[in-house]
Parts: sequence; structure tokens; C-alpha cells
Amino acid sequence: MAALYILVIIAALSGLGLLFVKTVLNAALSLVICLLSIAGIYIVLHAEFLAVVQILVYAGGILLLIIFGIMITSTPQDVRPASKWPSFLLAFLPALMLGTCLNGVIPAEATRSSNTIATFGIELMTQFAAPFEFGGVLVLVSMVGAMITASFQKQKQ
Amino acid sequence: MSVGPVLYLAAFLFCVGLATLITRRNLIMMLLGLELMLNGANLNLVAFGSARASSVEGEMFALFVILVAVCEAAVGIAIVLRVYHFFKTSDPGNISQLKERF
Repeated sequence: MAALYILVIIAALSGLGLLFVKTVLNAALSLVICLLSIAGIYIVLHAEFLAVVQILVYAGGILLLIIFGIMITSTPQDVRPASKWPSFLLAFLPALMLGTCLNGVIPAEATRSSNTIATFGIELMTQFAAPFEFGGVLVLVSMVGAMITASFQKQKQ
Repeated sequence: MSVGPVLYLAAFLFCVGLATLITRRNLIMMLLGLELMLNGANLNLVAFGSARASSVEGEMFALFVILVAVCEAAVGIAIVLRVYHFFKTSDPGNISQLKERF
């Protein structure tokens, strides 16, 4: 339980760092910390498979892509928001309201079995096979689309 | 185990992501904010799913959200690179070719 609170605090602080850090690269590194601590929260919540996917895909794939994007576009300093307080309020007040609302609808507590990866894999290949295949097609299409969009070639006259 | 703090964290990350998306003046920062919002939603799905024993629907939904987020990030970065190549800037305020001039 203490691990959960520590991870929640780390994730919240590094998420807040995304809003207030000056350069884009520092923001991306702050997001890495946030995503890794979210993976830890998944482990505490007994969603081990999702934790592994989170580390592999988010911390490994998406952040690599974003850091390469930052390096290629190599912007000068990101301009900070004009005043801190509006963005601060924009982040905190709705969060408090939304969290309170969600906290009110928690169902009765239940414990899960410690190892759900086997169940997860079987469900993924039986009941959720069709969305899985469609997801594969979506990844393929978006990969080809991203390659075509990003490739710079000279226009023919 | 209570999932209350996780729900607060999910709401907090969603709102921080939204604030980043709105206030930051950089296309890549906007994409980062979007990723943070998706992670907040995912945390919600997993937290509510873990409250129901013997069901993996919450995790499954979160897995597909991650899948779509990957596609969105790839295409988004490609579009950002293309826009940067054309406009030589990544400030969305300066990308105003389609905007009506007064």
C-alpha cells in the first residue's frame, strides 16, 4: 500500500513537471518518469501484462519517437505560458472535482488472483481475437501512412 | 485494496495533460500532453477493472487504448515533421496559412 502511494506521488509530480519544465526535452524525460511509475502502479493493481506493455511501448517506443522528433525539429526554447496561475488552476481544480466524482462510484472492494497473465492471454486470443486482428491492421496502416507522410522527396516538376 | 488514490492520480494526469495541450506553444509538447491524457484514461480503466475480480475487460480496453495511442503518436510525429519542414517552425501560432487574414 505504501508502494502505491509513493508511485502515485512520483507520477503526479513528474506529470506536473511536464506542465512547468522549460525545454521540450526535459518535458519528455519527465514524461518517461511518469510513464514508468504508472507501469509500477499497474503492477500494484495486478495488471502485470499491461505494465510490461506500458514499459515496452510507451517508455520504449513512443518516447524514443518523440525524442527523435524533438532532435529533428530542434526548436529554440519553448515559450512558457504567460502566467503560471491560469494553467495551475486549470490543472488542479478539475482534477479535484473529477477525482472526487470518480471516488464516489467505486464498487465494493475485491481482491484479484495474483497471476492474471494466463487468463489475459487466453481471453485475448479467444473472446477478443477480432479486435486484436483489427488492431494489427490499424498498426500496419498507420505505420505505412507515417512513413509516407514523413518521407521528404523532391517534387517532380 | 483501495483504488482511491489511483483515481485521483488518473484525474490529475488527465487534467495536467489537458492544460499542457492548451497552454504550451509547441507541437511536440502538445503531443506529450495528449499522451498524458491517454495515460490518465488508461489508469481509470485499469483501476475500475481491478475492482472486479475474475474479469480482464478493463485491462483489455487499456491495451487497445495503448495500441491506438501508438498509431496516433507515429502519425502525429510524422505530421509534425512534415509541418516543420514546410513552415520552419513548430509553434502552432505561426502556422496560419489557412487562417483568414484581416
